[in-house]
Parts: sequence; structure tokens; C-alpha cells
Amino acid sequence: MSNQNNQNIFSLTDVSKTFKLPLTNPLKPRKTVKALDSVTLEILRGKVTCLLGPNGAGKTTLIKILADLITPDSGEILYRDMVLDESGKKVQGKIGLVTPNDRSFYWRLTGRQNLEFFGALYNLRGAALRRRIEESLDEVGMTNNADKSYQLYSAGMKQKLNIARALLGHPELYLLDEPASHLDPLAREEFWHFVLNILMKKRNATVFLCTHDLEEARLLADQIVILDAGRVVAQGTPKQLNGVIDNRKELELHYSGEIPRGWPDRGDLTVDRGENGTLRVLFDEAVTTQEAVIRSFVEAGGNLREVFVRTESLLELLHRKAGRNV
Amino acid sequence: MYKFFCFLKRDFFIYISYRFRIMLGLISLLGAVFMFYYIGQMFQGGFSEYLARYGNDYFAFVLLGMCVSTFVSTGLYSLATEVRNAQIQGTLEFLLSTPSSTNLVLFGNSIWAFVKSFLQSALFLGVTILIVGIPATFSQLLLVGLVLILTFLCFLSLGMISAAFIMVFKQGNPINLVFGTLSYFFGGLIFPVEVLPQPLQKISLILPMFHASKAVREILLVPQDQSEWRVTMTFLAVFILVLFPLGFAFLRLALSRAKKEGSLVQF
Repeated sequence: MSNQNNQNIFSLTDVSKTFKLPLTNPLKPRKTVKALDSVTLEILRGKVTCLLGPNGAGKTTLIKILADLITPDSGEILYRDMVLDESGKKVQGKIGLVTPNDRSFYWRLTGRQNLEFFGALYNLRGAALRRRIEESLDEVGMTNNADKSYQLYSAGMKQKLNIARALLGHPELYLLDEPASHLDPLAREEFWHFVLNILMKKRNATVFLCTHDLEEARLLADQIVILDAGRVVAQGTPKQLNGVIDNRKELELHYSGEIPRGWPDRGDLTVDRGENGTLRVLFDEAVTTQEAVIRSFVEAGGNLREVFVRTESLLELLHRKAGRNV
Repeated sequence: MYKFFCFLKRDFFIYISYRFRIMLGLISLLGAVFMFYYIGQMFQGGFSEYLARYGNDYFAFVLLGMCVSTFVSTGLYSLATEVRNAQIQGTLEFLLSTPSSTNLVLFGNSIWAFVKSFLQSALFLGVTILIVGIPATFSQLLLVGLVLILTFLCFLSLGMISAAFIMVFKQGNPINLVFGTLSYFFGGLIFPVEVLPQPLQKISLILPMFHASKAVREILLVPQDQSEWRVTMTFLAVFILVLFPLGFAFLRLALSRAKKEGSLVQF
């Protein structure tokens, strides 16, 4: 896959990864689980790409592959136009990783001491390091708590420090693995503003964000990728995924009298009869249009009172695409 | 060097945050010195043909052995221990995601242990020289320093192989079993290997610990004209030449395998 004009930070083509499960019975061979199955996607520069999926979908595996912490079994990964191989250190300075793991910090040190240490590993030192630390602390609103011991931090403060650590290296891509999962509603909203105002507007960065939260994805994402059982089951903009994807649409028709005899006279409509004179009509927008559906009902003699257009929500999409309750 | 300093600073601050542990560590260190001093007193005046070469002073013999042993255990165990600690704490994966090299991360995590063992060995050496009253010259001390560095490098090479096993298998370490446990018995640390039956003494020859402890004693306790320190140091140098590249190769293989298995954070 060509990384057209460097519009993509990452392009993944047919990336697969299978893990061997821990041995539970020494007399039986080790079982395997396919964490990623021919994943093809692009992370667009300067955009927020949200990776949605149920537990065990392979989201964290994908993030770790991008951060060069796991080597895929097959497939091609392009970072800009460079093919990533096992010596993935060439991308590591360009990536800011935020994991949900608060144990990746040193609990006996203060927030500032932690940042000083990790900043050094990002090749920063002296005045430049101090400046970056102040800047990062300020951007996440942690300046006043920087000299407290990490072990005294609340979940929200830990997460802010986690993000401040990722900011230190001024990366062009932020890999955020469920960054708001432990935050209360107010802190989550604050985090969303942070992504939109600091990461996107001020830093002009690219964000790849794993989340369970549909609202988060809807609010932040320029592009959504839905992963289930290691496979990409849908991808597109939030608008596309709210109905256009697969071209599935639903009309709710409110009518009076009887349903016209013989309607629908076409096989591309799925009709569910509801109570009190309502019909749910599912159709494929690639085959027909909502106007054609309505016209066919009226022309068949139907007495239409009201029409509601329903688009599938992300949650419904996840249910349908995953083929099970997620 | 700056990054190593940052690792050192990190671990120093963590170390001093556990004050009670520091106190207990000092007490146990002094306890060991006193224990061997009184064991030495018990043998004083008596004559052991096995210790004749070393001035018949058991206290000096054993403290110099301890001095070497500190370096041995640090070199052998610290890399593997720190890899496992970082896996359990959850820091390893993030450290490896930074632009710093994998080797720097692995060695940096152990540098505080290296410095601590250097200080501990210096204490054992100082106590031996001061209390026993060994008339050590500056050149002898330099030679001892060189032996300790060679010993450290030798066991660091084994430690790299050991860390590679931990990275892949998480627990169970054949290197520590062979070179750790065996070394303490056959390495001539607490007693001269000459007390062992003749066939068993041959095992000592393939253990770097034996050559390291012998070298230090040959330099400080045996008169210059009879000293065999050159032979023992040559043994150590050969061990390093063989084991050091092997250690790096094992570490690289282990890291590659752990990344393929996705097991860097498992423990």
C-alpha cells in the first residue's frame, strides 16, 4: 500500500497476530488465539482515529504493535513511507504512548521526578527537559501537584501525569489506550477538551485512541475503526458509521387505515409491523432511496401520516457488526 | 552516561525512601563482618595447611572471598532480578517504548545494584586491610580493582544470559543454578577448595568464581614472588571473551522472542 503523499502516519496492510495461550494441561498442545486477523487500516495525519471494539477485540495488541512492543506475524506496516521491521526504534521517538497501566510509573517518586526520569529517556536534558516538564504539567493542569508522591495521586491525577509523560517528547502521534477509562464524567469531559484543544489544535498532532466509549468516539473521532475478534468490521467517519456504512437505513412509517394489499411488492425491503399503525422499513440505500420507499407506499394506496428516518447508532452497529452483545 | 546517571538518581531516591530497609541492610552487613571476625578468632593460633598459602588467616581469607562474592552475585543476579522487577512493576514495557536503546534500559535498571555492590566490596576490602593489617600497596589495590572489574564483567555476561531466560520463561533459571549455587560451594568462597576430594576440585577450575576469589587472595595475601594472580586473571579474561558476546546475543534473541510472543509484560 502506498502511503500517499505522507497523508498517513501509519498504513497497515493485512497485519495478523496469533498468540499462544499459557499451557494449562501439559498433556495437550498449547491453544492459540488470533488477536489480529488481516487488519488493514490507515492512521491519517492530523486526525483523531478511534479504535472501537469489545473486550478482547485486539485493540491493545494493535496499539502495542504500533509502539513496537509486539511483533506481528505477518502483514506490512508503513510508518510514513518506511517499512517497519523488528528494529522499530526509528518510530519510538515519534510516538507518545498512554497506557491504562498506572504501574508504569515509580510510585515512590514524585510526579516531577518521574517526568525527569522518563524525559531523559526521550533524550531530553538540562534546561530543555525542565522546560518540557513545566509545559507538559501546565497543559494537563498538574503543575500544583507535581511535587507530590505518585502514590498519593488520585486516578485522575495519575492519568494526567500519564498524558504529561507522553507530551514530553513532542511526538507527532499519540497512541492512547483507553485513556479515560478510570475517569469520572467531569474528568472525562476535561480530557476530551484536552484532546481537541491541546493535542489537535495547539500541537497539531495525530491521535489514535482505543476506547469502549461510543460518546467519546462520536465526539472526538475523525475516523472510526471497529474491531471485533481481531478483524476490522467497519471503518469510516462517525457520520458514515451512523447509517451510511453498509448503506443500511431505517424508516418508521406512521399510517392510518390498512397497509396496502400486496405492499411491499419488492424484495429489497424488510418490513416489521409495529403497534398503533407503525411500520419499520429497513432498506439498502445502495439499491433504493427513502423517497422511493415512501412513494411506493403511497402509490400502493397507503395513507401516510408521518415518516421518521432512523439511523443506526454506533451501539447498534457494534451489536450488529460483532454479531453478539458487546 | 547522562541516562545512566538518571537511572542511578531514580533508584537512589527510591532507595532512600525506604529508611528502615537501609538501617537493616547496614546491620546485616556489619553482622557478617563481625561473624567472620569471631570465626577467624576461633582459628587464631591454630594452623591449617589449607590456609598456609594465605598467611593462615581465615578472617582475611573469608572477607576477601565475600568481597568477590558481592560482585559475583550482583553481576549474575541483578540484570535478571531487575528485568523481573520491571515486569512485575509494569515499567518494562513503557521503558522499552522510549527511544532509548534496549541495552541501555536493561543495564540502566541494574546500575544502582552495581554501584551498591561496589561500595559493599570496598567496605569488605577496607575492613580486611585495616583490621587484618595487610600492608597493601597502591599497585596491589589497583590489581584487586582490576580483578573485581573482570569478575564483574564475567558474571555480568552470565547475568545477561540469565536475564534472557527470565525474559522468556519468567521463572526458572538454569544459569543461576549452575553458576550461582555451584559457585558458592566450589568457588572457594568460604573455605579453600583444597579441602574437597581431588575429583571435585576439578569442577572449581571451570567456575569463574574460583579464579576471581583466588586472584584477589593471591594479590593481597601471597608474597609477590610466589603469587599466581597472572594465571587466574588470564582465566577470567578468557571467560569474558567467550561469554560477553554470547550474553548480548542471548538478550537480543530473548527480547525478539518476547516481542513475538507479546509476553514482555507477563511474569
